[in-house]
Amino acid sequence: MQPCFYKSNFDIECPGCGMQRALVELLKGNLWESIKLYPALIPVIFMIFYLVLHLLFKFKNGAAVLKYLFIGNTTVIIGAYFLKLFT
Amino acid sequence: MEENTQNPQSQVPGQQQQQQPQPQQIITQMAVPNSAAVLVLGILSIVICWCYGLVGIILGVIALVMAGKSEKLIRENSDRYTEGSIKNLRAGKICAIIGTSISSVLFTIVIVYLIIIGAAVGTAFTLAPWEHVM
Repeated sequence: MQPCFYKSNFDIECPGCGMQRALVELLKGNLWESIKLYPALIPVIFMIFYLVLHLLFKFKNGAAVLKYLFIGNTTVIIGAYFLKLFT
Repeated sequence: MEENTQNPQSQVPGQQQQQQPQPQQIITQMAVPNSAAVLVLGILSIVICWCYGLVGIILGVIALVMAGKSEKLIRENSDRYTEGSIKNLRAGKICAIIGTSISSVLFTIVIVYLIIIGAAVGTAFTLAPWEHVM
């Protein structure tokens, strides 16, 4: 696995830390383990999937849905990051 | 621009325009240039937050520049472009702004860290007892 620059240099995890472990757990089929490691992975995958579908089929409210998905994902990433830092 | 002056009712939706007999007055609406690219880059700028923040900044700034150029085109004549692509562009711009700001915070942390390390190494270098070493 790709080591994290922040974790190896600062001893602080970055907002993307745990994404690879969560992806491995997701590929193994352990959904709950993946959510515990990195809660934003499944929404991010869904967002990219929805983005590709939206660009292909041009949903009517696709842009607004993507915008709110993006804001929600960002909130989850930052929230989970600070939760991980301070607990 | 000439088509606009010929057809004052150019804001009628596409179905009614196609019923008009003269084919020259039909305004073919097209997608805003780079609207899909802005959306993709804006969304990817937060997904790639783990690359030192640098990649996120680059993607976000590219998206913002492209969005600015396309916004200028839209302001010149807004009825030439499809509504969906304009919405795509606006959503992509918002995503790019958020992604760029978060990535730049991460990047600032790296820079501050490097400055602190550089200062520490520099002081240690100057304070070292070179007379005894050499």
